[in-house]
Amino acid sequence: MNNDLSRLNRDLIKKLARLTIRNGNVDKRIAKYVLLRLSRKELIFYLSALKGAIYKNSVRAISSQELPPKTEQSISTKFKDRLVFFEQDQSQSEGIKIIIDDTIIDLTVNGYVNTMLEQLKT
Amino acid sequence: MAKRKQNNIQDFLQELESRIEKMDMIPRETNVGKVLSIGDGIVNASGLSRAGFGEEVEFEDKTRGLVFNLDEDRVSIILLKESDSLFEGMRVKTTGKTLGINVSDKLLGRVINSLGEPLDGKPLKSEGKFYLLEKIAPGVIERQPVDTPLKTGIKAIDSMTPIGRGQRELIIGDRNTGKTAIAIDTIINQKKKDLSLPQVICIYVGIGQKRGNIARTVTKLEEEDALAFSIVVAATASDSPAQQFLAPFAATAIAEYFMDQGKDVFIVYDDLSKHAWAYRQISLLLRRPAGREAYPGDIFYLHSRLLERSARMSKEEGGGSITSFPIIETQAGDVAAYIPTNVISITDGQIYLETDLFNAGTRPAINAGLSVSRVGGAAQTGIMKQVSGPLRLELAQFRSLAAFVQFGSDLDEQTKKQLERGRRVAEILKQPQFAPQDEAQEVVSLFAASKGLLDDLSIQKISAFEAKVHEFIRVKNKKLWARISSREKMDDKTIKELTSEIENFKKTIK
Repeated sequence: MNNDLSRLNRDLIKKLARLTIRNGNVDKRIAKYVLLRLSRKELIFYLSALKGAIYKNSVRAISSQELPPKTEQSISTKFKDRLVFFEQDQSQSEGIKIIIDDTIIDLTVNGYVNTMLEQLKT
Repeated sequence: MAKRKQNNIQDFLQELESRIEKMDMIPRETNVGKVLSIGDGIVNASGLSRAGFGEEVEFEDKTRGLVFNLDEDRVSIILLKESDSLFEGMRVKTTGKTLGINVSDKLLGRVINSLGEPLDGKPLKSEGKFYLLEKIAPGVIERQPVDTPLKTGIKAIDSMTPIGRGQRELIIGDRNTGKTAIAIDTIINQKKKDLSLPQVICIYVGIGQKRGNIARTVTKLEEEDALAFSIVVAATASDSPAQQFLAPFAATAIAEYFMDQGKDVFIVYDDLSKHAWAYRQISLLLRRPAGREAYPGDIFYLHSRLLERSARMSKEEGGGSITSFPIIETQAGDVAAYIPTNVISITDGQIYLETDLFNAGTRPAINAGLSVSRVGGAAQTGIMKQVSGPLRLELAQFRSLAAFVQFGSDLDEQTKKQLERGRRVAEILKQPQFAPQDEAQEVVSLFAASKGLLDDLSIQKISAFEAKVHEFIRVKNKKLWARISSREKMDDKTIKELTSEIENFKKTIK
């Protein structure tokens, strides 16, 4: 079995990473099975693919203060096919930053100011 | 003084107000990624799943890069400028912009790099229009055939391989054979506005050259008052391969700005061999499959898409033109190598410079047999066609006879005559650097040689003859000079008159 796993190509490792996520959570049984059998090189690739798979199915809404339940509800409805995590970051300016996979929608005051500055410069 | 200051502030505030009003404040999505590895000006990054090919990206330290490879789970970025502050894990974001350059008339007389930044120590405001570096070449309908001459001021070229506005003429030859000299002479000649043609804007692109050479070129253009209508785009050997790769595209974008205004532009790509090397270096670092001579598979497309942008536009499109002189350096005269054959097949002709001719003192060292202009003939004036018609054949016959004569000394009278005529034609085609001639001067010299009027003059005296004959006719017979300058074919009367003036002048130097 160990030999079989070592022969897995990138596509199969990616598939394995996708399978590890079940209902938004890491399936510990599969993860343990994989961790014991993959080589170091394959494991690095597996972990990065796992990270990608987690991000792909989730949305992070980051705000400086706790969001009102109504806003949280509205964001969850907007991304109903994904798992939404609400996080707080005190260093962030007023507003919300939404991170979907590798895309960021910056709705913070800082974000607006930066957009304005960039447009002024061009 | 105080009032002017107040006005300036008011103008600035008004500009700021109008810009803010025009602003699009809808939040944009930013696609981000993380740097995985950095090396040799290439950055591999994860994420950036929405990045487009050729899109500009920005790193956290404001370094700019260009997306050059899109893989399934990573992208490869070429850095537009060297940076020491990049590190693994640094965030990189897409900008949604394709690489371009700000172009305006203020670029005239300036030396800039591939990104439009000044290199001459003077400030340059980034203003004007934004032109993309990569653009699809004009289509068939938008073009018109080449019909207007672009005078180089070099007798051998204007007579035997004439150039038309909108043409692409390759200059090919080994190192130190005078390739750049031809290009610079052509730029210098544009200040004359010969034949009352509209001013040509000149762009010199130095790719992978020594900084000293670029500085020398700029100084020469300045000395000859040619910098005022010229722009120098420099990506020297010490610049990154990315900058060297982008330089000709940036220059072409600038040329297109002027062409769109209906102006005529002349570009020198000096040289495309080094451009191909830079692209090969980038491609190999990106691990693209290597083909012949380790060049990537799309090296032909790289040059064809660049040179296709040289065109003569139709009247409906403004009637502007881009004429280009791509330069290729051959190794030991091998024109059958990969890049030379590619560019030969793309261009509308080539001027082949030979080391042997150069060493023998024939300058410009143009090989008349291998040099050709496929479309320039249509742009040649009637008078130039008249005097240069037999020239090429006479020169070719002379070269083959001269090679044959080396083996024997017994020659018949006819052959001896042909040899003597050939020697004089070859002598009259010699021309010093930075001394371009106008069409009337060229016509007089070529007429004298091809009609056999120099046959009784010793070869040593030909340069002295040429140095003074133009001034002699111009001063003595202004009407004749005006007729020669009129582009029209010479009638019998003019031919007789010109012959007699030349004969008269010969008497003064014999």
